[in-house]
Amino acid sequence: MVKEILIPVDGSEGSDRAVAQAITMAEVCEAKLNFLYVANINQLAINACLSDAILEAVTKAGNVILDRAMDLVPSGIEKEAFSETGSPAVVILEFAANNDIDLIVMGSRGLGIVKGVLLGSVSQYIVEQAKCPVMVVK
Amino acid sequence: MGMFARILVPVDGSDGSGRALDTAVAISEACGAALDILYVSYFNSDTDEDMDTWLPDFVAAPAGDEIHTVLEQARRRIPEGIEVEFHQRIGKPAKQIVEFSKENGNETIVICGRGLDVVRGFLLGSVSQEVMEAALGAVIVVK
Repeated sequence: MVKEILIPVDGSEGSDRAVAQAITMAEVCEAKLNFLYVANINQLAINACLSDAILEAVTKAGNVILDRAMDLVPSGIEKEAFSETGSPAVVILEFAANNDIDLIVMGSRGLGIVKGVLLGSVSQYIVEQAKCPVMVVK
Repeated sequence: MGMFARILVPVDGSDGSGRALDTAVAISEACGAALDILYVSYFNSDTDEDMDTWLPDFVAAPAGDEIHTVLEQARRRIPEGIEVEFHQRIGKPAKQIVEFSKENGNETIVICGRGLDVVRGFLLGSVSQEVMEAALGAVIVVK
């Protein structure tokens, strides 16, 4: 049933745990892992003066994160890395819809103190809006 | 395979909880995980009143029957060969689900995020929301 797994990565501890659990899931289901890094540079781009140096730095940061995730995957499991720009929640949902994703695996950012806002806003939005099952990893 | 050793699936007889169960069954078939099926209600047969009542059945039907029906419905959905246990608890659903998972060492909970509410943003069931925040392990929210 689960053949295509999407793991949005951002280099945080939570996303590292999501990668680890997604690998277990992929081993169990013989699924393919799709890692997605979303550079949130929309707001900066509005200023229309984004220098090449900044763009390059952002791309490089994304590649480091994606490479780290890819390196963790044992051989024999299919994997691919994707890098996009835009608003993370929106890009992740679009990616899931356009690539027939069966399961999204992501970290919950449990930083908030106030009950009810414990779940990260991106995770929250995706759990609510995604058409496919979402696995929230602690 | 620690995280999928015992998968907890809370059920309430809804279509959504049926879909959550199907997902858990699929994972279990792939990796041999055992399933814990849990029904949480505010009342059970102990709280049922023997006395006849003038209230209609949808208000005052015995809770014991309801629990039996929901768990039986779940049982029929699970193919032979999967190790499964059925449980019931009384209390507040989200709290009981999380407590159960802690006591039984369920690393993964499969639950349905219910889309019953009309207002956007309240699409996710409040129980799955609370479980997601309080659970120690991973929570798979099925649509």
